[in-house]
Amino acid sequence: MAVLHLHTNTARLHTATVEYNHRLKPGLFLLALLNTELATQSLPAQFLTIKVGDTHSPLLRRPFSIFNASKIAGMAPRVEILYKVVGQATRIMSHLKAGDQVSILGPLGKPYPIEGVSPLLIGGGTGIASLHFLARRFLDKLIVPKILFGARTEDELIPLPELGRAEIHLATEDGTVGFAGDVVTLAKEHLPGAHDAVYACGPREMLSALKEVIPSTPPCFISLEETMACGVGACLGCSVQLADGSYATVCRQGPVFRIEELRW
Amino acid sequence: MVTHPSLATTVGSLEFKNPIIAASGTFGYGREYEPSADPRVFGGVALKGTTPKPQAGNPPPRLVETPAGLVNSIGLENPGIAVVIKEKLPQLEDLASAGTRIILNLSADDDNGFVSMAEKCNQASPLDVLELNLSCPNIKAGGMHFGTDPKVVSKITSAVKKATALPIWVKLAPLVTDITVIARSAEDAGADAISLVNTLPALVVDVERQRTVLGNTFGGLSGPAILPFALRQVYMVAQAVKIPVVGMGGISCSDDACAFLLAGASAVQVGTAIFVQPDIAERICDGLSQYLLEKGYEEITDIVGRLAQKD
Repeated sequence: MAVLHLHTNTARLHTATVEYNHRLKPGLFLLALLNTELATQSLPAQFLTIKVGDTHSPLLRRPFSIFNASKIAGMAPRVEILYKVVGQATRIMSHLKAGDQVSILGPLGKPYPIEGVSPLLIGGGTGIASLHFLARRFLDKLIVPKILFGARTEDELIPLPELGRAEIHLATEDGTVGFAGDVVTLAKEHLPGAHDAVYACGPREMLSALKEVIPSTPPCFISLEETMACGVGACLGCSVQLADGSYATVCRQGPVFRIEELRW
Repeated sequence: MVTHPSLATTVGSLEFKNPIIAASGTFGYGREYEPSADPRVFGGVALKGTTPKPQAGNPPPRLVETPAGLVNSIGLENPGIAVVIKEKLPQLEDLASAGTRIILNLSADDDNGFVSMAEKCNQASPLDVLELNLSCPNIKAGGMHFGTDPKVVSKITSAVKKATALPIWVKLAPLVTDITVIARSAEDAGADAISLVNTLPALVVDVERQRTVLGNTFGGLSGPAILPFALRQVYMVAQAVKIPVVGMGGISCSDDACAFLLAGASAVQVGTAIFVQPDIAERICDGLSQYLLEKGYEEITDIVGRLAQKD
């Protein structure tokens, strides 16, 4: 079985207060949670699990990638979650309002390694969340990332006001804004560039298409999403198959993998 | 007046500091939840189902949520008994020192597999109980579950009993014609306790794509959805056998745990609820203490089996 490096698990159970729950676009929300520990410890590609509601339906906590974590003097220490309303749990979440309390487990999972001075970030849909957080960390280090952000249509592209200094290229499959086509086709135009690290997050089909066009260097780190129960590597429910045929948990051994580590 | 009710219980000759045990498959090998939850709060932890050889597990997807429930088909992914004894158990010394009992759940596809693991466990430490998962498919019998045939249950139980001095809990599949017949066959063969219920066989269909959701087609249903059925099976078995019963199935709060104790369980296991609230053991223990205080009982054992006494 493949042995993957594990990030030290610092996850704790937290009760966080909702600061705001903004509707950015139809069905797309940005949820801000006030919690000093989460704001301080979270790293790009790490995620939180949220207990939505207080009944048995929905039952399991829901995992969400961290869109941003900030602890700036004079500002409230917060973590932000970008989510799309896709089912019962996210529909309930969309009704959360400032002051509501939610149970959070996190931060969970292995973060992106922050490598290189000329990174290329490729995001599809809400997969932009972890890359947004990563881009912020690059900008903090005075490194300007290039970001390719794609969605089916303009309505699924969220504004990224905090990434003003980054080089952002948009793509929509219906051509309503930016490059007309999917983000992987756009990525082909930027690969191989002068980039020394590639980071990607988005639907499985997008990542699978990226695998087909990505060169073997520079390193390409991807962050995966899976249905999960425990979030800590206990239940082995979120496993994905690795290139050698063995399985790895997305929650604990991931969510970040090198693209070539997986079986596609 | 009762001021400090005791949650201590016994399962056969084995003492537990409280009746809350983490169910196998939901708590890994005991350390995964740290630091978000302290495993030493549990009265016992039942470790991930372990097989004679390493097992890769089933193709994903392995999980799907259903109304008030969870269907899983992990496929017993585990590193095998040798690694568990050499690497996993030694990491649990502090749990043992804190009085948390270590229960190793064993699965095999024939009786020799169970016996060989039990023999290896004789030198293993810390280890308090072997829990035999008789809900797994019996390859030799065309994939039928061991737990559906009293003769097979009896054969495996007595063979393992001869191979080890450790207490043996026989964990039963719930969906059988008469669970009391199976439980009695385990008792007659020397089981020290019966633990039940394992998950219920289940199927989930993706209507849009017109295919099954789980990678391995079928899964096992757990969670609050199965509680009333599990409780009924536990109650029936507690009436039918003299050995202790460890009850489980959808427990997610102290009232649920209490119901199983009243139905005759000496201890309970909590599984799916750990995913939802990793600090569930603490919550349930607090709730049980409160219940005992309110009802004026000094010990949790005072309520075990109360339901039958009232019949």
